[in-house]
Amino acid sequence: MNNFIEEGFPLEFQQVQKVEKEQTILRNKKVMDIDFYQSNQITPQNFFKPISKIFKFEFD
Amino acid sequence: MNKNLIIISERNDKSTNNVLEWLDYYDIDFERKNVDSDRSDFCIRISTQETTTSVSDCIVWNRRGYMSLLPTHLKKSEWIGYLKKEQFPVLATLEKSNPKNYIGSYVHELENNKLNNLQAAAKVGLEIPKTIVTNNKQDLLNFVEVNKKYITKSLVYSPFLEKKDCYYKGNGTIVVDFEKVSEYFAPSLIQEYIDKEIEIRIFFILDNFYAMAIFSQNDLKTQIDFRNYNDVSPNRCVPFELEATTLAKIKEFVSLIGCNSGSIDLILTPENKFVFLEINPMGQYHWLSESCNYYVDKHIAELLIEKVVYE
Repeated sequence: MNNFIEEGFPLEFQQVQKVEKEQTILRNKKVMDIDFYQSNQITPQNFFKPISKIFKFEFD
Repeated sequence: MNKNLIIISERNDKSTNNVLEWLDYYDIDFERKNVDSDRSDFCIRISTQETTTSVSDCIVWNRRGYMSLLPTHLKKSEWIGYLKKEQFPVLATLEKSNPKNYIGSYVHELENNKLNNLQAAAKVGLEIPKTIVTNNKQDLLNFVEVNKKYITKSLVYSPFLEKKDCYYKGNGTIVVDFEKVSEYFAPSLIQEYIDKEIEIRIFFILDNFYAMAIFSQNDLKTQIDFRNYNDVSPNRCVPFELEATTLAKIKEFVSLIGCNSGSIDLILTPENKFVFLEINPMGQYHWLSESCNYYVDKHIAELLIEKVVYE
């Protein structure tokens, strides 16, 4: 990181952070999960459908 | 007959969604154009008599991004840098052909020049931090005073570089470590550090100004720049009423730079002086609106409706 300063980058680079992508991979995993649900068209409505059927059964 | 209402934004912008829900509530038609999904048809005709464009007779709220004019498949072209530059004069002309009914500006966002803004703020009588922009240590040392702190921040955008296994990102505004300054460096903006009682974020749209006080001084994480948000213990944010003189100067400032919407950052010093820091022409206001119960989304919807129906 010190190379930025030696190489004459703007002074703001005194605190430029290097962030390893490990955290990003976790975040991508989450995104993938969401994509999976979206691609299978599972919405909050049909996700809870079985539960509402049970309720229906009980009320009947 | 109502004018057409066009809203330019990004697909995931929450504030846009909120305003559109209000427009729905008021039963007003609109057309949303997302920079990241839709291609917009347009036309500009220039003659000796006049210039007319596709948006000449429309009310436009340019909330985020810009009207995307390229065929969608070209967005992934290796020529995208060139194509975007070619698009720029078109976007500028679309905006300028309809200044009265074009709220928000991508051109301002792109050309937002912190140095020009500081000069304009000083011109209308707002206090600004002592500022130097230089590329060498000698001029910097001639500028600074012993025992004073100085900050540096980007001239345009905070550094960001993505690589395969990691990315690099800037920390926003930082205190300059003079021991780390080399003899020559790329142009850098350096300002005296100003003690603050509170920071003030102002969102404005047309003639409506909403100010919020941010108690950022007592948190080490946000002391230098409240944008280094502390998510665990967020700064206290409350509505703030700007006194008339400062508000008049702010209004004069936005008029001078020709901006009709954006976010302004000020500092209120322990000596009760307001110091102008910067303006962001397409800043977020959701946080301000929710913290202060300003209902900015509703107000924006209402002022768009006023333009669509009554002007």
